[in-house]
Amino acid sequence: MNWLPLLLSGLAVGSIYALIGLSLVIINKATHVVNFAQGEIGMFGTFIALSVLSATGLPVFVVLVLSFPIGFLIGALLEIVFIKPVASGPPLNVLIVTLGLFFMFNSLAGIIWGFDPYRFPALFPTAPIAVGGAAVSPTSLGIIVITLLVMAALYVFFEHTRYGTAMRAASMNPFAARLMGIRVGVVATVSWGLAAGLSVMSGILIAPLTFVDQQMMLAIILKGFAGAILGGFASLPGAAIGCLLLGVMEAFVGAYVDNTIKDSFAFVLIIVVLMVRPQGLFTKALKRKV
Amino acid sequence: MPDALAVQGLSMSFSGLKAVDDLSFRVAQGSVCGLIGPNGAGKSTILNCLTRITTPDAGHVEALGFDLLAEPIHRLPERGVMRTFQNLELFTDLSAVDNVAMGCAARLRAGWTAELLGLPASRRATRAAYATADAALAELGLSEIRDRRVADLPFGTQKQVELARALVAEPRLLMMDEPAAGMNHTESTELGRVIRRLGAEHGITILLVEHDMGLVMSACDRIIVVVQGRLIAEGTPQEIRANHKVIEAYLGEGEA
Repeated sequence: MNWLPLLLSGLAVGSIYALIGLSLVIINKATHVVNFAQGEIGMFGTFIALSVLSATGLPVFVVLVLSFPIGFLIGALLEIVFIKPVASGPPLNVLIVTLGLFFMFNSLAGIIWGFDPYRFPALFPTAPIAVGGAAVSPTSLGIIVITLLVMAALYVFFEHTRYGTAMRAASMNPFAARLMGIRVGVVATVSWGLAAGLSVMSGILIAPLTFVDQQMMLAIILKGFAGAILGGFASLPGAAIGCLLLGVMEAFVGAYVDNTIKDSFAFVLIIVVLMVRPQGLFTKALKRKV
Repeated sequence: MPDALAVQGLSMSFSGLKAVDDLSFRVAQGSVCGLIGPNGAGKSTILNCLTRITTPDAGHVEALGFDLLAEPIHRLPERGVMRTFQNLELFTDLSAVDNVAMGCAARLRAGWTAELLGLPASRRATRAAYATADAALAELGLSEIRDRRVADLPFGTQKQVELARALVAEPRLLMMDEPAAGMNHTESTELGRVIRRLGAEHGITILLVEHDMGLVMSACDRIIVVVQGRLIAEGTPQEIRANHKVIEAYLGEGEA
């Protein structure tokens, strides 16, 4: 029965990837670029949460809940200040701006909080609990449950609310959306806000397991990107499932094959998926517009 | 009756080619006005200028009492101006009812914070939008395809969905770009009836660009004829049918 803890820890890591992967897809749908700064936004938000935590002594769970609006504000502000001015240009310009944001946040965090790693208080009890004869980490379970709740909320928002539907409409046909009176510019701002909120949540969920420092999100954004491509970058559910799958596969490869190839495994997987099934595992075949 | 649309001296050229050349015309409130002309006459350019998709080089347009060329494109729905497209501008992956409900986006707005947080005001607006959308689909006989993804529907049906989407915005001025293209004879006859009803019962002023002459002659109160961006004739369907300049433009010189 040693596969159950492995599966759960894989799903937990996959959940962290999924939150970042989803935020990459949300921004891609609105702004049509991959936001290189996504991980650094999460890192910066985690530092802010840590500062709030040590300044106010609020319970750590309250800070986790607050992390979403904090992230939302950061993301929305970034879109208004840095992205909107270049949004009408070619996508490459926007991409370069997101690279700039990556370095900006990375350096800013160093200037404000220094370069030493910080501890983040545990969100869940650390003693393992017994499930069917196997020892299961409450942290893994907690991360999975919180992520599933966030995904369910996102699903309801995009599929069953009018604003979510309007956001999907604006991404499908911004021209027609504008003609309907949908403010496509506001939709882009909201998308950046949502995405940043998810990234900060992922940062806070992973922080107790690693440390809080400038580099904490580097590997995670690459894995989130890989997982999203695996599942299909055009679809939110596809990207989420892809990230969960990647986390699980990594865990099993690390345990049964070799722990040292665990990290490179993700990138080998991207290359294979892009060659065999470029649209991802869970989305319909790409159709080129005539 | 006052005019719903008054176009004065509209001109637009693309790198030296005059697509619209000093065009002036008026459309009376509640009437159906046909805009016809051979291919390349500038009809779509005229509609694009009148819906703020392109900005003309010169001219003044007064629509429903306001200066149309001073409004940004996303303000037109709340001003009462809507249009449909020759080649469709639908949200292809959304269902028919979602598409139509988006037509109410400007009219039933609760503010985006209320919408994001799901406040009661936004839920009321959403319910109203979907009720309106269902009513519009029913009026056009489209209730059956309510939940179908529009990309899977036949072209003629997609055109009707687009019309429903424009109607739920409760426009007072509606511009239609070749609504009958891709429709069979029965569908276009039915469309003619719908267009007449929109003018007569709902008081909507319609500017209709169309190649189906049967539809234009039966649905329109007045017709304006444009050739190479210039107005060459204006009148009732009977007058236009008898106008030798129009016949010449369509059949070629020397044959009339």
